[in-house]
This record gives sequence, structure tokens and C-alpha cells, in this order.
Amino acid sequence: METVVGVCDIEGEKFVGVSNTKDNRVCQGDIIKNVKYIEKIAEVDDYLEVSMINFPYVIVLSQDCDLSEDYDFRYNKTKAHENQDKILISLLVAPLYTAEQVLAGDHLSELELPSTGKPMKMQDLRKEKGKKPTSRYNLMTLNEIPRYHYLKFPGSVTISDSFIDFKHYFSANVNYLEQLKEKNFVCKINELYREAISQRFSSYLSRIGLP
Amino acid sequence: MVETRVRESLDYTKSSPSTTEAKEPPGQLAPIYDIDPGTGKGTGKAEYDTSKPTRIKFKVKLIEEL
Repeated sequence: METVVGVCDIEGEKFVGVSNTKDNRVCQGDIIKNVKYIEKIAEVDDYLEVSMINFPYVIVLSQDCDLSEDYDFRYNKTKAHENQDKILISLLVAPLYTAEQVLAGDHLSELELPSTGKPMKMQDLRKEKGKKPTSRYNLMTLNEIPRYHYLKFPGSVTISDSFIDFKHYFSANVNYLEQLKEKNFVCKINELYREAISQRFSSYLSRIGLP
Repeated sequence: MVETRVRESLDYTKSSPSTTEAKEPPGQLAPIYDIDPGTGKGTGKAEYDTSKPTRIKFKVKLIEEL
């Protein structure tokens, strides 16, 4: 049964609209937890060395019509298709990072930089340590910085306020996410909000860097 | 002669429960979110997952190619 949490507006605080409806297929706007990204596989002697990053939460960015067609063609849902024209090779996702950790710039501190072995450090967005956020951070929460999209979840979803980092998008196998979604589905961003995310993502990808 | 109308004061803080709400047991009416609707502040009751991305490395011994 669908429960649409929708949007709450409490004293001017805007929450993103979410739903706990779980479709059989992967949908645009799905938030799935513990998604693994294989960053490297190397064959050394008689071994395969595998290196992966586990992302606590990711959001699916691929267009929903593509995902729907893929599911239809993959499993012949509406009819027996004569070809596999609409099947996807992979789909695009982007990680969610906890806003509090983004503010401190330590949201990737558990990943070591391969060249130095030191924890990765991102930009500290506090004026002073433990002090107020910078104006850049405030702009990020207003979605005025193209790289980030701020998500303030209603309390029914146990994800803290987060940022989608469009720069860190990656691809994932469709079957892998489909199987993972069965047990690791968290929620789905409602259509209007996911369209806004999609529009901002495509705008970020197609940005032109002028000298 | 001036007519004086006395209007019954309304307490807007006490709204009548809707039909649906009235049928629900009291426990079902509890807010499901971690926000105090009165103040708009977080109550701190929900447990949020704030884990960070981690790297996993392992080796797999090749036995034979498929």
C-alpha cells in the first residue's frame, strides 16, 4: 500500500517529497543503501584484486522512461519483444552525503587517497572550526551551487539532511541494483522533486567551463 | 437601543478529530516524523544513519575461466 509522505512545510522548512512505494523495477529517484561501486579489478598472478567503494546511500538519476522500457524489454512484460533494442547496459546514480559531514568537509574521510594513503579531505565549509557555515554552504542548501542538490528528508525517513554530489556520479549494473533494491530500498523521491534533480543534474553535466 | 452580540470564543488549538482520525486508536495518531509540529525543531528521537563511504579490497583466486 502506498504511503505518500509528501512535503511538509513547518515554519518555512521545506522537506523533499518522498514515498515508500517499492516498485519491482528500479525507478528514477529511488534511494538505495549500501551500493557498491567497483573502482578497480586487476589480475595479479593467479588472483583478481578487487577494490570497491561502498556508498551508504545513492539516488538513481537515469530517466524513468528508459528504466521502464528496459524492464519491459528485459522481462517481456507487456509483450514478447523481437529484439533487445531498449535494454540498458548500466544506469546512472549519484551518492548522498550527510550535510553535517559535508559542512565539515570530512564526508570522505574513510576513503584513503591511493597516492598518499591519507584520508581524503574535502573543502571545510565552516567559517572557523565549529563555527557558522560559510555563505557558500548556505547557497548549497538553497540549491544555488550547481554541483550539489540539498535534500531535507521528512522524519519518516531515517536519512539525515543530505547533499547529492553530481560530480561523483557513477554507473551501476541494472540487474545488480534490481536485486539490491529488494532488501536495501529506502524510499523514492516524488516525481516533481526527482524531475528537478534530473534537470539540475543534466544542467551540471552540460556546463561549459569558460577560461 | 444598541444590540449587543455575544460570540462564543473559539479555541483554535483544539480541533475536532476527523472521522478517520476518530476511528483510529490513539497510538496510530502519533506523528511518524522526528519533528515537533509545534516548534518545527527536531526532537532528536530518530536514529539517522550517518555512515560514510568506505573502501573494500579483497583478492579472489582464479581457478578457471568460465
